Amino acid sequence: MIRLFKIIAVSGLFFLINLNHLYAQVVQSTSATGHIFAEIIPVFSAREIAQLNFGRFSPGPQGGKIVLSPQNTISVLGSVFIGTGSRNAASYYVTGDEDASYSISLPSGPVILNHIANAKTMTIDEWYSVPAPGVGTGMLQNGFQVVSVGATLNVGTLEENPVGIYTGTYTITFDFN
Amino acid sequence: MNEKMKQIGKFLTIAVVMLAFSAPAFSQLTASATASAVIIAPLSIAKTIDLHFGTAWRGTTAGTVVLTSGSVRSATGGVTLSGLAPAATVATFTISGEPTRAITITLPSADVTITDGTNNMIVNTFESTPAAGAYTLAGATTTLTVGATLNVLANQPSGAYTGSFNVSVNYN
Repeated sequence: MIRLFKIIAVSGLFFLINLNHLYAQVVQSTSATGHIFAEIIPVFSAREIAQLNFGRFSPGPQGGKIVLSPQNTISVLGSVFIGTGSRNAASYYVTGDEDASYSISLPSGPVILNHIANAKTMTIDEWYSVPAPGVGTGMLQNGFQVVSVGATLNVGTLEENPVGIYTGTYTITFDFN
Repeated sequence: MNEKMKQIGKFLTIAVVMLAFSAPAFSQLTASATASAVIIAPLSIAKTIDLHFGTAWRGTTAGTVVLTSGSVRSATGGVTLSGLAPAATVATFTISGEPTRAITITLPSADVTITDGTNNMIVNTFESTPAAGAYTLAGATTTLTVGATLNVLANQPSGAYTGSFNVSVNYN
């Protein structure tokens, strides 16, 4: 009996099979979608094709004003005597997309002109333009437009504004939306 | 004699009973096995930021806008970069998976067309950081940035162009 049991116990063999390296292999693919954006904008440019020039004049005893319209007409107020020579409104050549609209901003305050040889000054104000300043007032009908700018020059007495050349700069802004 | 026979008979009876009991023990002792399984995190990729080339002035000759996965933007040919809004952004994706596992990152190999509804542009030469191909996941999540090249035609009509592309990942 005991002997028989022993035989049975010995014959119980252990088969150790190592399955440690039998991984469950996962083959998985996944993707995500990204969007692409790009914005192409036209070459919007503006250049001055004529400078604002009030021409030659002589101040009278009380001074006065020279009004130069965007349409190039000149009118005088007060004691200022217009001389000979050329004078003209400023003009700008604006280019961009066909039928694109844009905004025009003129100087909001007076612009100072300085005598080239001394400290005497004159001021320019009351700016006007064609097309009128404002948001979206400009229109590039065939991809371009000429903007004319006029203003008023305030002239003092001969003592305040002696003979000479007065120059200054101003900024006009064309804003493409 | 009768007495001896009886004794043998008893012994045999006991022996048969023992064998009957021991039979099941044989079938249970055939083998001992260890089975293993490794559970790994599923692989996923999700977009967090779209690819935007920003704004560019078109030219009278063709050119490109190149936006690298390192967020460097440059222009070639007749195209000029503009700083106007919206700003350029590289595409950004988040890859989630099991750390130390090898994966493959796949970017678009074909041209992708983007459109403003009427006109088209081609986007190609996609590249990424980490680069496309085999990559070993360092952590549970990895940030993937993708850049590409935008091809702008001469006098490309102005407008906002959009399109889409796919980035895929899989376990090796």
